[in-house]
Amino acid sequence: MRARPVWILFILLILTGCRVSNRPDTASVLITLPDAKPAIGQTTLTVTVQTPDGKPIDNATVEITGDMTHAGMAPVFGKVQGGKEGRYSVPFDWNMGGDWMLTIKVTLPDGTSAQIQQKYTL
Amino acid sequence: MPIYKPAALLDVLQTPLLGRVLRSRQGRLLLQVPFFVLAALIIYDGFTGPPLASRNLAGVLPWVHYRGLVVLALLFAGNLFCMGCPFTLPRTLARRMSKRGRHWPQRLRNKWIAIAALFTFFFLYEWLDLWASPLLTAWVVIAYFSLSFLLEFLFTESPFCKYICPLGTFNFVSSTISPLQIQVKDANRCATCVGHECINGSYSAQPVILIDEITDGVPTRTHTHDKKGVLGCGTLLYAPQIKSNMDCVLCLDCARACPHDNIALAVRNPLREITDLSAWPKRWDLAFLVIALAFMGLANAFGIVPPVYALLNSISRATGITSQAVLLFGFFLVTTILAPALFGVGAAWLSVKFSGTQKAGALRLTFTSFAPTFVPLAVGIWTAHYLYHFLTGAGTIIPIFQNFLLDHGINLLGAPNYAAAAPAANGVIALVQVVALFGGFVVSALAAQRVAFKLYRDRGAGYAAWLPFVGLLFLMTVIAFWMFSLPMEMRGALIS
Repeated sequence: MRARPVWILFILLILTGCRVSNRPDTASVLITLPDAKPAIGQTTLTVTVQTPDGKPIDNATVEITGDMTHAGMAPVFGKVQGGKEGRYSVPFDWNMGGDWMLTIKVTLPDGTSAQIQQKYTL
Repeated sequence: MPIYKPAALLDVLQTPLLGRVLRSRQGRLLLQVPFFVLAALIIYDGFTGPPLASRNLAGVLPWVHYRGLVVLALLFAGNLFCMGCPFTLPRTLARRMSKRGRHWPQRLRNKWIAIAALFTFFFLYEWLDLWASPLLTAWVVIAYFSLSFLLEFLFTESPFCKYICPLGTFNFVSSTISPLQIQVKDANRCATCVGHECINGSYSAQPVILIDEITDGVPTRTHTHDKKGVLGCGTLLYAPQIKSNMDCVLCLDCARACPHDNIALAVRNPLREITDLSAWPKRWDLAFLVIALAFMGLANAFGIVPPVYALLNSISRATGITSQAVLLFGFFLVTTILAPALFGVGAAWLSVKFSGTQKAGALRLTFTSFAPTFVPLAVGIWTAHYLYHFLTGAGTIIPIFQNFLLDHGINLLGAPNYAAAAPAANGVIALVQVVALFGGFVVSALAAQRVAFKLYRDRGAGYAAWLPFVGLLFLMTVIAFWMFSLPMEMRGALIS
């Protein structure tokens, strides 16, 4: 009995060293998110993807993951491939009011990627 | 006090397999060890996992699963989560290290600290957005472990469980309408019992105790204590006098300690306790706790509907107060302390006036007699809220745990299956909430009527005494229905 907490702490220490870190962002792009106030329901989010000097990027894949800050809501996903003049229209469902954290990941044709996060309140 | 032995429908401890498991020395560990592992996971993922609560075990396990399952367990069985409490595991170590010399101060042997702890917990929950922070949730779990260890080390009994723990306090109150209760089987055995092991525990050097007359030189029955000794009740409840589940952590130490095998975990009428005028001591603190917990249910649910933001913003504009902490503190002070005091005592005062009673101490007697009848409504409000989160998010544990394993290079359960995280249909959630609220109100109102008729033999006086309380119950139910009919939010910013 007395040894059990020590063992669990030991296992925790080992696990701490085992967590795999995410791959670092390697793509050099500018990602611009819609700044309009969102409302509950289906919508289309327009994401702009540019090179650092402002040139549009069209052949990327844009993935949006929406997580609520409160536990207990499954994430909402949106994905689109290819854009026009750097603009990507991603279907998205704001399915509940509250605080959201949107993660927008852009993957370029060469496999490099970048992502940003932004908080929204409905 | 006289020995109390109501008729039992069934003794769970005598059921073939479950009864043997529960009575065994390691019986409680079967729940505690898994809960301890889950607590360790919460701490670990809280510190090292994704910062988003909806992606972290420290977000989902305590704020979705624990809260949902705890109300179901309390409604359909009993205080199972105190039985499996992992915080008491290191506490056992503290108990062995402790000199066990000090007693918890007499003036603190009441529920006022527990009420303050509940208030503090709900205030911090809103102010610090505990529901949104796996890291803070992990610290809350560590604080629980630390406090229970420290208090067990310093004092003789288990003051953390009985006088402080907010989770335990919630469970104690709610378990007063649970269908299971500890009671004795044979009152005569307790009357002649010498050791009172159920409360004192047994550390006899003689491990075999003869408990019956010896016939022809052979003992007819024997009871063998474990050589390490058997603990008595940690919260100092004496089994033959237990009329209430209040303060019972369902550890079953009493059943293990009793050399006469005279303790039952009995199935009972869940309403017996709250309508038995002698079941609870007539204490202001105990009565106020119940009514405050019902109001806390309303205040906590109010935090996830849109009008709360408008209200706090308007208070902010009117008073010039911009500090969210101050606004929330004021909000909780009014809704969870002042309102239950005002409305609870006000209902008791009206009840005394309407019934025409002239007895000294009538206000206290009325307040403390009717207070237990608020438990069904309180549990109904909490159930409507907690099951909303549970039915919405129980399945999210599947992809979160799959992600947790993948994060550690373990591909045992494959890629996250987000389809498994789909919430229950809105209609199902609404039905559960209506049943919980309406059922809570009806049961509370009927229990209050029964209490009124026990207090007053005259039916007219009984109805008059009942009226203010059923009015308050109805008002609270209407408020609860209004809140739960609004679009529920998974939280938004309080001050915009």
